Amino acid sequence: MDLPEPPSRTLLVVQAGISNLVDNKLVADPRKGQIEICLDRFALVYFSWTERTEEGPSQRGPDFSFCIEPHHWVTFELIEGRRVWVLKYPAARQQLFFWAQEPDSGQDRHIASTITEYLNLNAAEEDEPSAAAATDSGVAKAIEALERRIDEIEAQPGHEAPQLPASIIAKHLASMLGSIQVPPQQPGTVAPAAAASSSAPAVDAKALAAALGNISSGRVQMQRAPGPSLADVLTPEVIIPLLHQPGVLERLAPYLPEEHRNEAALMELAASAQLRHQLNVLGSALQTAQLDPSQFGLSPNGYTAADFLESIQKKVDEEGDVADSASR
Amino acid sequence: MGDNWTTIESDPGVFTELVTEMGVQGVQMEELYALDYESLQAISPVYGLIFLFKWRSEQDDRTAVTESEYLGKVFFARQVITNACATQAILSVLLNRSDIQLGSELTNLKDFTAEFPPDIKGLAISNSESIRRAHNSFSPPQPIVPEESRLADKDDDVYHFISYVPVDGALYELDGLKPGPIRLCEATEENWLKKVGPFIQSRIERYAQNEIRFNLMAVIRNRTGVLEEELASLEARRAALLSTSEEGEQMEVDSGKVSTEDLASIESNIVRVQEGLHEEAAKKKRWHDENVRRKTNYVPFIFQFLKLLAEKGQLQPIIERAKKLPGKD
Repeated sequence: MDLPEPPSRTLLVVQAGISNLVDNKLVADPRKGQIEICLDRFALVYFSWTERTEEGPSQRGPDFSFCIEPHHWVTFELIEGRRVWVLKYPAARQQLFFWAQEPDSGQDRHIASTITEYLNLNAAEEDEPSAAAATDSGVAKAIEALERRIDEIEAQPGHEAPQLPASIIAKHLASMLGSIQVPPQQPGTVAPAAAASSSAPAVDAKALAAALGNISSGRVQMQRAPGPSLADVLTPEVIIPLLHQPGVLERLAPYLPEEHRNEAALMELAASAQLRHQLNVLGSALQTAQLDPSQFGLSPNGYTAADFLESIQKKVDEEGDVADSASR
Repeated sequence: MGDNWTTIESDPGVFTELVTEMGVQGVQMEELYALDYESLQAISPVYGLIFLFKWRSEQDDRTAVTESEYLGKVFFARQVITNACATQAILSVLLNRSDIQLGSELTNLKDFTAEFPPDIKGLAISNSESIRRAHNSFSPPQPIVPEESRLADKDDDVYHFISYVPVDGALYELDGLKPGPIRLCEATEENWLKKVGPFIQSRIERYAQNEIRFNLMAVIRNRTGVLEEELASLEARRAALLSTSEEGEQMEVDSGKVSTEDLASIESNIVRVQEGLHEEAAKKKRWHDENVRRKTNYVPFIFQFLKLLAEKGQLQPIIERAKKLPGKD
């Protein structure tokens, strides 16, 4: 009996910890971790949990990982009123609990339904030959199944397509794109998918198919555009003299808290840890494609800090042109 | 945000406002850098201490006090949600003190949960809408998922909080991940600050060896209140001294001398207390300003600022700078 190949294609990563049922009470394991749903080269679905450390997912690999057998139904449900999910795998008599470590509880339900979809990719296939099928057809079949399921969900009247948080879509696309070695500053490949904000369906099947089709092998990595973060560029030394210019306070005052609309408070803000923190968050969100610059009305350009700044310059130049021609 | 508890910064200014928003009066938090008795005495009255550190699993063979022994005497709650652990640690101090004005919200919570087992107490805290609202008010209303900031600065890890508080004749360590309170030693209101040092010190030494980050906060009485009382009593003593020396012209020369010395020391104490009050006011102002900034979403500000620079032709040098600077890795 051959051991299954290690899972190699990551479909989804969700931050979650383990909860244990002790004397009928759920006790959260305080470790940080992540759930990964992977496809192996035979298109078998794997569920794994890996501890996260400061450096990211533990180098030891998953703490546990198991394969979902084809034709078996598995559910991943949100427990009402709590940020806890339960995975039920009746065939294997498995019942596992996980507590959400994703920051936004509003997505818990979507995550649950998306994971359920993924875990059941092979559940409905009636006449599947043995898993020792050729690699390529395995992947193709998984994509087919995936597309079919998405179509099914979308076709259901009144059924809202499960919407994944943009951050998770971006993460799993980034992981796929990362593994096919697409540099993130090539916008053509990633932009349409990353732009799939809250209004888009859970998975852009075509983008997924394109990504999966090209995968050779992959490990999950949060892809980050190269170069400095916005916070490294806009340091207090850089911004204080610029904010100090006449007219700047008047122009920016509407975007400041009321009690801080004065020169002294503006200078304090420029040097503050709180602004630094928000620049860091914004910078990281842009560099990891978790924030879509089109939210600011910017045209897609790339994901580095320089790309972001350049597209602001471009937008301002364009607006200037429009204003010029209008005044003519 | 629904049921979510956001992570909040471990900062005395944040915790002080948090406590105030929960309706507690006359309490503030102070970060501690030394554990000796004199340092603790200087900020007394101290209601309790909170030790926070980056959590890691470790062996602990101490046995917790059994429920029947502490229920109704020591308020102990199991931790059910990670992000609320700071709030929970603060509550573990506040709800174990009879000399704090808790306000109606926390008084109700305390009374309501008094006979509950620790895990239900924890649930009651996590289900309290007003506590959660106070806790969550510190996350800025911004559209960005702040999760990637953890990748950006790795400080934001799983922190754990342990409270030290004197209750019912003993010093207790209250750790929401333990099954019950740990009774450390006998202690009274008067001597617990002398006794608590070594317990925390041994923890610090253990974590310092392993390069685990930690810090220590004290839950204390509002400094402004303490200093104002001190000032009032000094001024009353000064007034009393002045009036006795005026009517005491015929008093013996010796006692007159003594009162001039007293007067000088009272005067210098008054100056010291007034300086303390000024410092305290400046600190509270700084805390307030920082909290206002924490609650503000500056993304529109940043964006407008960059647009303004682009209009003025001042963005280009910054773009060049962004291209030249090295990345994080």
